[in-house]
Amino acid sequence: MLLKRLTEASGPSGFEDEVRQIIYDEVRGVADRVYTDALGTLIAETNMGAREPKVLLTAHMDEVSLMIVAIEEQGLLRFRPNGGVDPRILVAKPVRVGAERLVGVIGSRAVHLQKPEEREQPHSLEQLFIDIGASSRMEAEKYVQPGDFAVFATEYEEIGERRAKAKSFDDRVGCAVLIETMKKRFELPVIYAFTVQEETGLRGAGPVAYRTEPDIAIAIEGTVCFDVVETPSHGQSTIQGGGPAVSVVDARTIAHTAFREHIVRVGEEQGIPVQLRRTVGGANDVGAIHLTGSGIVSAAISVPTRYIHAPAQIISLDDYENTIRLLEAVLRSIEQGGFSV
Amino acid sequence: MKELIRQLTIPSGPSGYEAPVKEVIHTLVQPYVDEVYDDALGNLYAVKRGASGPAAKTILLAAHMDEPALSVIDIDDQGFLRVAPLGPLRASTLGGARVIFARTGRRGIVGAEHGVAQKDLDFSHLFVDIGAISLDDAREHVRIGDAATFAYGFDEVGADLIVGHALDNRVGCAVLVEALKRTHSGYTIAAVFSAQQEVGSRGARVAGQRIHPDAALVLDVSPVGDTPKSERLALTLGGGPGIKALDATMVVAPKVRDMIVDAARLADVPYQIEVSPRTASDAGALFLSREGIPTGGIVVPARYVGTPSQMVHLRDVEQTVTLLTAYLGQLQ
Repeated sequence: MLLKRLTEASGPSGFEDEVRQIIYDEVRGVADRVYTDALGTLIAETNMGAREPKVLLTAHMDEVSLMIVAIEEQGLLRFRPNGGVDPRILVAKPVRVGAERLVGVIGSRAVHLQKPEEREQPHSLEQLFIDIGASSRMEAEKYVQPGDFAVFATEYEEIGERRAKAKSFDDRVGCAVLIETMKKRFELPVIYAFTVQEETGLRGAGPVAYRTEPDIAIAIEGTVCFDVVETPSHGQSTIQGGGPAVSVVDARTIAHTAFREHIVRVGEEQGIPVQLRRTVGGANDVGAIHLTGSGIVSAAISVPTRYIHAPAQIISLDDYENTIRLLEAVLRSIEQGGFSV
Repeated sequence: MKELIRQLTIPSGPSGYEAPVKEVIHTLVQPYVDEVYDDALGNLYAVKRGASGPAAKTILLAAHMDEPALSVIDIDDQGFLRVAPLGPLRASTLGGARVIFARTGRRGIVGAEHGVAQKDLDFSHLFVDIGAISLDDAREHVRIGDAATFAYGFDEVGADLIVGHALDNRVGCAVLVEALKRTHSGYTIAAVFSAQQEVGSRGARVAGQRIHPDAALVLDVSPVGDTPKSERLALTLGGGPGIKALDATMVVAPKVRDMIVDAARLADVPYQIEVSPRTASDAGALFLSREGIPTGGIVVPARYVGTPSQMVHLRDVEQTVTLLTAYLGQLQ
């Protein structure tokens, strides 16, 4: 099961090796050429001799994680987030530390030892540590060093009707969409880039766009979804089960109007549910891609992801499959000259 | 100049949807340039080839077309729109504002939910009333992703002052249009009417990479410090064009600045030095393009920048055109 293998792999920003290996094994028999760049992005080229426009598809391999920065005398690990993690959601969560995937638990000072005013506040990073069961610094140092990373320990499971929970759907779900899409063949030069360091500032995507000089780029993402209790419609951003979400504006990009309208139209024509992403916050690789060179016509299509950047995220498998269908339909429309730049 | 500015102020130009402004400028500059084209970001390029032939060096002149806007993120059952900001707008200042949607021209009023203190207002408390009676009615005129700008238009105050919601930066656009008309330069002039400045000079960044000029000059407005208890700033309304020394995006090399100062002296144009550490412009994005581009700026002093009523002195605008034309004329 592709989503299970991808989401359970460890891929802190800058240390995407495990994820990259899984993807490489999936795509090497499918793509015409597969290589990595200096930052670690995995690039798979297909049908590069076909008639242009040249299309770049991206999904990022990295996930938000915790970096070990110090080991306390008692063998407890101090950490700092690598990418956007809300410290309030961390206490008592299980994690996996380092390449050996050591089991750890995020601990804090006991409630009865906290000052009254501390109890009123959520835990700050200073009050948290990772416990790997070591009883001393010396014992911990046998297994862990500062600079190692921890990721959430969540397993992939399908729950309810057509939903799944896991860590790092942001953006392994995008990686899975790209892998599935690559298996279909297009009469277009299509480059699939599995990028690095998105969560620390969209660092991997710019160099890929610079190198490959595409005419059109599409990023596939997991994006915010707050369609939960007591949230007004204008606070939801996206609706789970409502279909792939097409970006309009985020913190780094104003979407190319004609291209995003084309994507919505293709969805409507093909009977694929499509929604617009109804917020202007957040960012994805398009923020770096569309400003590359002389400017690149780009769009972002996202799978709505509840509890994003948290240990257990939930997606709709229908949204996932409809994202694959929508991406294929958009590429077919470009193939047939239905959208030109 | 006044009529040109009025004409350029009428169309709505939200960041990312500058098309209505672009159309007007395209028509205006067409007779005076050799080539006009646009790009994926929404920039309009107008190129006037230099008198020195194919070997002519290139100067990029940038004036941004866009203005801050409200982007529709939701429409409720009663037809009220929920919005989020595109560019620097503060929710607490928007209650009662009149707006216009760039795509359809539909007008609306910004309303605020009751029971929130003025200072605590954020965009989640605001809505836009377009006079719709239902969700379906609203959808006839506005879609999610549409953007609205202020709708106050253009006014004259006294003999020489003009006021408008989009003088930042249609005044710069007007200066650039006029310079294309009047200028004969040894350099090729790549005029860029840039998109998406208000959200972080995204158009200018791409334009710098694409044109790869030998030099660049930004035309914009810049706030003055001459009103009661105003922020301490170097510029004065009516004091002549400001020659950029520093803004929030870059420090101008003394050599670049001095060339413009020399041009002002030769042309007998009064000038001021712009030192404006909190004002953003396209200069920084152009300056950092590729291997780095020598970049400067000429600004028109303006009062009430960041509000819907920016005020500019017409004599400053005229003198800015004179200075720019003189500067370009001496480039060989």
